[in-house]
Amino acid sequence: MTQGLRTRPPRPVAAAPPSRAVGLRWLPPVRARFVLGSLVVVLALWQLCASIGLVDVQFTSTPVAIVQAGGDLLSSGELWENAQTTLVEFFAGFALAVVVGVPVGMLMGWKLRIRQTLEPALIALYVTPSLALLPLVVLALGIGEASKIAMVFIEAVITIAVNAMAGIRETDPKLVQAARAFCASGGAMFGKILFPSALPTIMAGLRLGAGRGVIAVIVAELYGGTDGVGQLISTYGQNFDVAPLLFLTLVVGIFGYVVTALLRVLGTAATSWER
Amino acid sequence: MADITFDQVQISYAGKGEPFVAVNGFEAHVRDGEFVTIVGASGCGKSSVLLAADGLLRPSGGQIRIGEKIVNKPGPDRGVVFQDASLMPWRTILANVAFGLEMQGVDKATRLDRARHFIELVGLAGREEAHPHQLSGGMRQRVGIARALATDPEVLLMDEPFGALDAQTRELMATELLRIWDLDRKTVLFVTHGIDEAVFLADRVLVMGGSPSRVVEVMEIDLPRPRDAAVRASEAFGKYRTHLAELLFGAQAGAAVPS
Repeated sequence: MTQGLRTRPPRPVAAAPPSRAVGLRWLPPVRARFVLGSLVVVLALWQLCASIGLVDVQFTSTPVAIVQAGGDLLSSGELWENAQTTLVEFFAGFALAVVVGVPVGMLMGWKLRIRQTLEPALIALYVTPSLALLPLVVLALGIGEASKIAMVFIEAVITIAVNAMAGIRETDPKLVQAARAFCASGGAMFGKILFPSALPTIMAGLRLGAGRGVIAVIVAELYGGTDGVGQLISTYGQNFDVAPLLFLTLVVGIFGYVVTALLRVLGTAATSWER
Repeated sequence: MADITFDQVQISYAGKGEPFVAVNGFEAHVRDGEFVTIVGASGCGKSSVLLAADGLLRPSGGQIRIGEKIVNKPGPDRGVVFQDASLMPWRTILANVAFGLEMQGVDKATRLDRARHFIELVGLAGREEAHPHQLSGGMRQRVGIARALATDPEVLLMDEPFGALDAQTRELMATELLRIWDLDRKTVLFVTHGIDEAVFLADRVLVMGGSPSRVVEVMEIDLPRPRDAAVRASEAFGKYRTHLAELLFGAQAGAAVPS
């Protein structure tokens, strides 16, 4: 669940590179050179294979066609219109999941009786592919935004709660003992020991939950709806129009990456004492 | 009065089946302002006795009193220093030292002032804004001591505070501790498995042994204070050390006690 998520080995501080011989032009850092290099090679090979007929463009499209399709989607306003819907659904569901999942998870970590009461249900939901609940949710809430928000919520809230619970439970018992020795009240124990100690794991849970939420909103829109990026993907798929389909998939991937990266920055800021 | 009375204290651990009795019939009295060390083999329950004196662990029998008051939970009259310092990694040194006062509801300006005073006292002035992971093991223990002193307890309970430090730092810390203790001579109960440390610090050494364990001998340490390297090198110190080693490990070990 949370193993290894917040225990990235510290990145070694890179020593300043030795100064280059005078006259050499500036080159990007080594890592960037490899990343960019592999991207360029893959895209070039893809384009080449398609143009000499080695692969069927009906299925693979080509990088150039995907960029053109992207341009069309952007300039017609079609992307932005649908993205707005998806964004609203995602952020509403995710915000709800944070507001519910973090307190519930922390309470479960803190109070044995609450944990014993709720844990079986939580674990059952955690291991269930909750996307399988989608047909039921649509039956209950219709094909509008409500069912999408509900799916994001369901997917994210479980991960968030499980991590918040684990964070509280992983608190060093020695710190709890020390706080007791200094006469900490129940509230102080929670606010000044358990919560700060759990914060890195809680933040890791938010990151994981956001990733699952992005998947949920797209899948829910694929399943049925009147607008949204998932619905666009579904429509282009049915029309066998691969280039815009791939472009939209890429957009979703980038969005998921950006949200996760933002949460990572937020988490790093909130737990700056770790370094 | 802040003397500590151990009255037929028994400590047991729950296990499968019968509870395991680790300490039984522990009798001792620590006088007000006295520095008493407890030594014993590892696992003899000496730390448990100390934690029980703070109320962090409930004895299965007998009674511990601070003055006339029976101990049943931690209180502001006692300060504890733990073996691994147990500092909150997310708090600065200043905020760690102020923690006890914060729990007692002392206002922020006052508690930070007091915390600064004790940080200076333990020799860490200038490191107030550092975080625990930026300090060495010895420095972290200094913070632990400052945190315990900041609430001005009558009794200081120290659970092998220098146990994880290297030999040199350990000697230095012992001397430092005596310097600080000498300022207002609180009642101190100090658990250790270090023979040198036990003799060097104490007015009296309580030697634990037996199974279940109890106090098997009380050694009066009649060495001049303030104590320094010269005391450590003295013949009297050596005799106490040898005697204590004999008590703990048998006669042969006493003759060959490592220095």
